[in-house]
Amino acid sequence: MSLNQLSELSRRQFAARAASAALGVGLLPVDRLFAAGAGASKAVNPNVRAKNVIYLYMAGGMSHLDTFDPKPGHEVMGATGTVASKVDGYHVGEGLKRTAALMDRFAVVHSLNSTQGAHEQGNYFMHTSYTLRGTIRHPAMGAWLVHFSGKGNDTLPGSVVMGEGSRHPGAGFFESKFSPLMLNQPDGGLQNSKRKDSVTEEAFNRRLEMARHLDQPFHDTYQHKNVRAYRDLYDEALTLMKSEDLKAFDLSAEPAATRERFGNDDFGQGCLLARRLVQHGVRFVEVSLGKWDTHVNNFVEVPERCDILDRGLSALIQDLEANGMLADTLVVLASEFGRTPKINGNEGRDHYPKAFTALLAGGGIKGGTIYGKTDETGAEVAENKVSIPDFNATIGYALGLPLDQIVFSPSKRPFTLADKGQPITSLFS
Amino acid sequence: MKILPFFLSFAVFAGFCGGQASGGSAWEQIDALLEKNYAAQNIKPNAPAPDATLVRRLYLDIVGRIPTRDEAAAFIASTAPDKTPKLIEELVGSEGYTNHLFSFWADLLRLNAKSNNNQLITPHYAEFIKAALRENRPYDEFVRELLTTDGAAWDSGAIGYYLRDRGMPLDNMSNTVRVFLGTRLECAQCHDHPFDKWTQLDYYKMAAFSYDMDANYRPKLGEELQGYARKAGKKGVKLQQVKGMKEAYNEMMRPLRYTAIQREEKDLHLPDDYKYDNAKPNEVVAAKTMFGPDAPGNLDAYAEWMTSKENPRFATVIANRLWKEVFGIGLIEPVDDINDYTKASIPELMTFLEEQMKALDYDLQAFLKMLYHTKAYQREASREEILPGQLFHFPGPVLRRMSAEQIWDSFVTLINPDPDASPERLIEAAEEQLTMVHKVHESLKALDKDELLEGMKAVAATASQGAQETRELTAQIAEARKAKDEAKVLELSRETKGFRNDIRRDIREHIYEPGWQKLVASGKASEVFGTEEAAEPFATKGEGMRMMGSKKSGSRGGAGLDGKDKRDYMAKGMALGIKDRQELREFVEFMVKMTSQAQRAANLPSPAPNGHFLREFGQSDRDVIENANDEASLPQTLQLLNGPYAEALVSKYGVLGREVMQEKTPDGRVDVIYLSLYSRYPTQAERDYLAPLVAEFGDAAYKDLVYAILNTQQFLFIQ
Repeated sequence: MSLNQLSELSRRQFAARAASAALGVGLLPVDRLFAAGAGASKAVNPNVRAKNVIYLYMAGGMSHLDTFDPKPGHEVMGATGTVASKVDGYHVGEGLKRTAALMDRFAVVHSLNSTQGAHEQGNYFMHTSYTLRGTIRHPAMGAWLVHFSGKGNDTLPGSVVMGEGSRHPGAGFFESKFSPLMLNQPDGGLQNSKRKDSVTEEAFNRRLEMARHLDQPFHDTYQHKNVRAYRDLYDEALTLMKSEDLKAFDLSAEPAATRERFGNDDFGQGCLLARRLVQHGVRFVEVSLGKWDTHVNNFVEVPERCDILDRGLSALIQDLEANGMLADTLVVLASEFGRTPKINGNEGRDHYPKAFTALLAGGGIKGGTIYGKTDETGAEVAENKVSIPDFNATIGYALGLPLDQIVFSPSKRPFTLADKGQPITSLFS
Repeated sequence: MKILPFFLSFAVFAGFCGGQASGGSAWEQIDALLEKNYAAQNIKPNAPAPDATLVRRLYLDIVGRIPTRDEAAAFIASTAPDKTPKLIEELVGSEGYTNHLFSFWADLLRLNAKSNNNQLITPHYAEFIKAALRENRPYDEFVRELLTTDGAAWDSGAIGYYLRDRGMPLDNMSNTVRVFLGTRLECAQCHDHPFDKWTQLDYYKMAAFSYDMDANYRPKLGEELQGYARKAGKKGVKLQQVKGMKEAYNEMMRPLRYTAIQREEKDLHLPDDYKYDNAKPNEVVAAKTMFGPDAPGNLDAYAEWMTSKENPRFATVIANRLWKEVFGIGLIEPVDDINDYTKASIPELMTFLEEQMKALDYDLQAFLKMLYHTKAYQREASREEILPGQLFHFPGPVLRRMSAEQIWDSFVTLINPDPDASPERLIEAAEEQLTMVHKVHESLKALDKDELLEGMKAVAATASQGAQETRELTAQIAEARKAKDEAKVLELSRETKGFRNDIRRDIREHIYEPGWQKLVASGKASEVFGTEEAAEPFATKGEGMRMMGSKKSGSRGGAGLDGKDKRDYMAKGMALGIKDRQELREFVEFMVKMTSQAQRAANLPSPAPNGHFLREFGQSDRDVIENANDEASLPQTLQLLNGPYAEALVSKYGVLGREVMQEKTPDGRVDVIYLSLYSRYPTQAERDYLAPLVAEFGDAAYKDLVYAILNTQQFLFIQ
């Protein structure tokens, strides 16, 4: 199986879909009922560079002030110091020295504004562009990507989520085949993909032969689609078990020095695994880093988080660059909200969805761009407010996905990739 | 149990007018209606299912797992003419039935312990549902209770119904209508329904009924106190201390979040951007039912209307859903998108089922028994595949893949010797946690305002001291970091970690405990919690910690086991005839592991975590209604080929492993495997195929056979 192979069918499907979106043809009249309205259609990326996404999610709400939107010298900074970055006049939190030296690769969006101030709701909104509802589950970006443009490698999952995935919206209302593979640990490999050591290859094959033989009368009797699907999947499973692509999950194939560089923790190793997976054709990989919910003891907790983030993120950017992958891999750093400029009685910061920061790099992003601004205390967006749907539309735009394309849920409700969000086109080179 | 002789003329069912059967039994009338339809459609019904097929199907459909070897063998061996009806009567209403039907409800009602607001209530909500199933509470009564129960978690688990949709009262209403009336209203939340007649105004009028059910529980005490603290601040209490008091207050109240539903009269307004002529934006909406007789605008009347026999959809929906559970496909499909033009595939039969449901006063067990007793159910599954949209005439049930829960529970049956039992430990743990929260509530209530304020002040004082210390430590850490003294950074950081726990400990000492002591002294503690509990301090250190989210270790309450459990397993092992000490130890280890893992799905968290066997096989994520699926997927085949549970299944300490090795002859061993997994004896052809393999590979061949069968589709599908 060659890498980055997009099956012919899905390529054609994508071309057809993209055309209908761009030309506004092929839509049912009923779509117009819900469409944003004539003339409100969204920008289409003329120069799509991103094929893959590595999405780094800071779970719990990353303090924007102590990381990428510091206010040097102001009392809101508490005990956090700052350090100059590679971009003129732009400082970052002092815990991010390695990343500071690479800031010219990033576009920084300082003006995110969310309407959701609780973790579950904020996390859901950030991942789907829709607010959490009790009647529907919306797809996350990885599922949209695979839905629109297919898998990158037929043997491997289309998208992978590592870390705190228990609330991840996954495939939403799409079929389960669009669900991301959830990995709890980066170094555990693909679950159950290896034959148990206690079973010899000979015994394994004997068992399969036995199963096939004993099951034949059942297959002769019930020639149903789902029955056949299982038999086909056994073939696929056996192919996968022998596949070279399985090595994508094997971190031990990386030199010790490389592993070290990413940091000896789940996040760092997850970043490294993300690179391997993308190399092997997985198109969307999310890696999360938790414990950003620093209501108490912010100025001890945040430096600890930053240490892990800084190592993993900087190693990832450098590694992608060295492998020539940064050009077509979009790296995103996002969180559900920022944290209060005001320091509470427990030396902590509370939830703050009103103004916070996210980062983009690679995949056509113009490095060194600073977009949007908060006021002197980081409390209000002062310039170029960006909604969560806008931010997600920007990711979709980078990938060349049809932002206007309406997709109906099984309950016949119309949805688009980033709801009504408009991409920030000025971030692209 | 009597089966009436089959006698049914056209006159009987033509003259049928609801209520109890007037000629044959109700199930015979169902068969007669189906047979009339076979004749009209020129269809031949399937042959009666052989005993082995039937026993496997009955166990899977009614108790949600394959029969044990003994259960299968006993049924096949029995020559009693009434063995099938007897088995149906025995299984419906058993604990296995409760466990199985629980999955049905958990999927419909989206029982979800993942989200913050449902972590505490979900186990109790689940117990409420299980109790209703166990006691066979009439369905209409059960629904009324869900729709109208307010109060605290320790009063009734039924408040889980509104807590589930906390902050989303409008969505909650569309879910109610979809689940109980099979009607989709959610499109009308933001605009008139594009495919049905419902307007946005209809939607809001319905939502106005349940809008009073408030899941944002704010104890009155809280509001008063906050005001009081503000005033105290003005009177010269230092700013830092007031700041500290806010944190103290939040922390003190934290355990009470998401513990109650309050019924409070509230106006529901139309949205600001309401765009139709029939009302004005932001107008207050008066409650009105969407169809059928109107109901006065209060919640009880709404629940009455919903579950009334006059409601045109209430009985239809549950009758059709249960028919689908039994036969694999509904008379109305989809089951929850009913509109004025919906027609059942066999309208006469749908009407009959609806009338039966009402005549039985929503006795779901009796209704299900009726369906299982039909000849149609007891026929072979249809060989033809029913495509979406195709009419099905029920010559027999549909071939189905087992649900995720059925597959998992069947594995449990093959590993755990007592598969249907509910693990007391889990129930106890959930109850203990609830008692803790209840104690917090009562202890806070026992204190008067001044006492509370004094307590909070004390907490705030230590907290502000703690904050000061933390600031100093933070500065030292920064120094150490500059000096690249990693060890020192680590050491100092560790010192700061206890901050939050210190605050919690202070709250316990200065607020909860004094409150509790007052409660004990007044005699109220023993009144509410019993004398045994009242004799205890507010919380042992462990309990207090656990209540705040961390695990209590080494006690009966948690998932941990104490020495007594191990001794019990030891005794069990000896009773099973295990003599060797090493083997006995291994047996105990296996049992300890399996007691926590190989439990029926109904006794595991809802939903099971991502990546769990159950989720791989399509268990609903319990985020949206009926979200389970039976699609084949790669992780499933990998799980069956290489997963740990297939391994446990052949362990010599599991049920199957033990039973196989107890047999002495090769034929006997093969029989055990076939009976345990397929609920039948092998055919001659299968025996002939297996004999040389057993001769060549010896004991290994039995393991091979078990693995092989697990990886056949015959195992996964219900014929």
